[in-house]
Amino acid sequence: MSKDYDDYQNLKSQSVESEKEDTEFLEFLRKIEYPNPPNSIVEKAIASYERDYKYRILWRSIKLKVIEYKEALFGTRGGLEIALASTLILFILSGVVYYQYTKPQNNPINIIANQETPAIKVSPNSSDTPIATPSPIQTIRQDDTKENNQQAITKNDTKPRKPEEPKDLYKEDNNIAINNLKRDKRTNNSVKTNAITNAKKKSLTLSNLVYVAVVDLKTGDQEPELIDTEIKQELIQAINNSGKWRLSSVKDAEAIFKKQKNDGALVLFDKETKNILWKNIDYINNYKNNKDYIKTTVETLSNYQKQ
Amino acid sequence: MEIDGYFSEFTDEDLVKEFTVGNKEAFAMLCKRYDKLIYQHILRCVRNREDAEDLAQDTLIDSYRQVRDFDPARSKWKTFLCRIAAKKILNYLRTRKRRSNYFVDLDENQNVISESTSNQEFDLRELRNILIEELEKLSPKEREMVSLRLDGVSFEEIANIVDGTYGGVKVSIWRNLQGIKGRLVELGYKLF
Repeated sequence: MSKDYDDYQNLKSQSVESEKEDTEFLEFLRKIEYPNPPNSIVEKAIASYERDYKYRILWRSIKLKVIEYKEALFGTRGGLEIALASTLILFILSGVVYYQYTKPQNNPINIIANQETPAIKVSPNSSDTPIATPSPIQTIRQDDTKENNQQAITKNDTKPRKPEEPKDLYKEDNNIAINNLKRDKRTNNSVKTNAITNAKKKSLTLSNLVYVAVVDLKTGDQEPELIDTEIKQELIQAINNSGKWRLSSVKDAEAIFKKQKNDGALVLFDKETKNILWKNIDYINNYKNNKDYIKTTVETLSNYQKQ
Repeated sequence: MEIDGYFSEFTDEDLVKEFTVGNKEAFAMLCKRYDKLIYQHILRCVRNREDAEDLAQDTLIDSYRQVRDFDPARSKWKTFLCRIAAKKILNYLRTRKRRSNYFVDLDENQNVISESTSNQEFDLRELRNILIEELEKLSPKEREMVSLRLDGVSFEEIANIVDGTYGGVKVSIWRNLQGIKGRLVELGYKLF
């Protein structure tokens, strides 16, 4: 009992004494210096913070930039010129990006990729002159002949073209190719180079032509008309006399002269690709007006390879 | 330096608000304010510089990770930091294996002892080692309390950190400081 009482008194006295802190001794102990922390502690902590808070830091910096930009834009903090210049640059860049991504159909790569062989499209009224169209855009596929030919005829009927000399064939061919390339000037240089190469390659198809066949110039099951038979003979004779082309059977021919079923035009088409290399819808009248028409035409087309 | 100057006007609570929305400089400022306190407090308790550095670093990192637990209405940022440090120290002291060569001289690599070192400085250095040895004799919780008091943390804050009562903390600190004082007198130190 007395021990408990002593403990109680002891604790009580401690509590009373502890109310007054030994400040002198505390100050004495505080004089003891300890090593300062190395900078690496704070640096590593900040690096860790940056890693964990990277999105918040990013978002905050974006917000600050926007505020800074707005202030600069409205002239409260100067730098308006910079703000306007950056707005202009941004506007131009967005325009360029928009233009690039909203005009994929103008990209010649896509068009060229779908085209293999050039063709010669002939205006129905330009009776003497076939027009070489090395540009893939103007290529007419045999598969699409019905629609495409009809459209071509309609278009050309409304705007008749002046007949030109056959000797300008190659020149015009090149001009069209150049014009097409100018039209595609938005594309980059490599694409342009490809287009030029392709155009040149395709223009060689007609010039490489050697074996030509002529079938009966008739439509459907009807018997060929007299004039068509005469023209066929003219064609055969002209081919034989051309010295460049060789008359061959349909089986061995590279290209064939025939009368087109839908519009009755005389066409020379590639047997393999079915691409029309030359076409004239008004060949009968031309022949009636000029008996040398067939001969001249064959000479022109066969001489095309010399250019 | 400009940033430090700018943020020196900010209270801890303002800096906490800033760094939670991604202000890196605010967090850096807070770290610089308290890294010395945290490090020296931990060093007194664990008596190993490398471990003290690691624990101080972990404390600063945990401070932003646990910032959701920080309530400015209930405690100061310093108290919040010390609570994190206290937990780390207790965990460390519980798990560490005592080795004979474990304790290292705190002045290692610091060239404190030089020709110009005065007797008084030398005495203080020796005194520090004795103090730390005496702290080692205390329980981890008592050691923390004394160490925090030496760092100038108030009794209320210490009570908050160690989850004790104001009176209990005050008596415990007083008793332990008296014990250390008696030990130093025994060793012949002239204290004042």
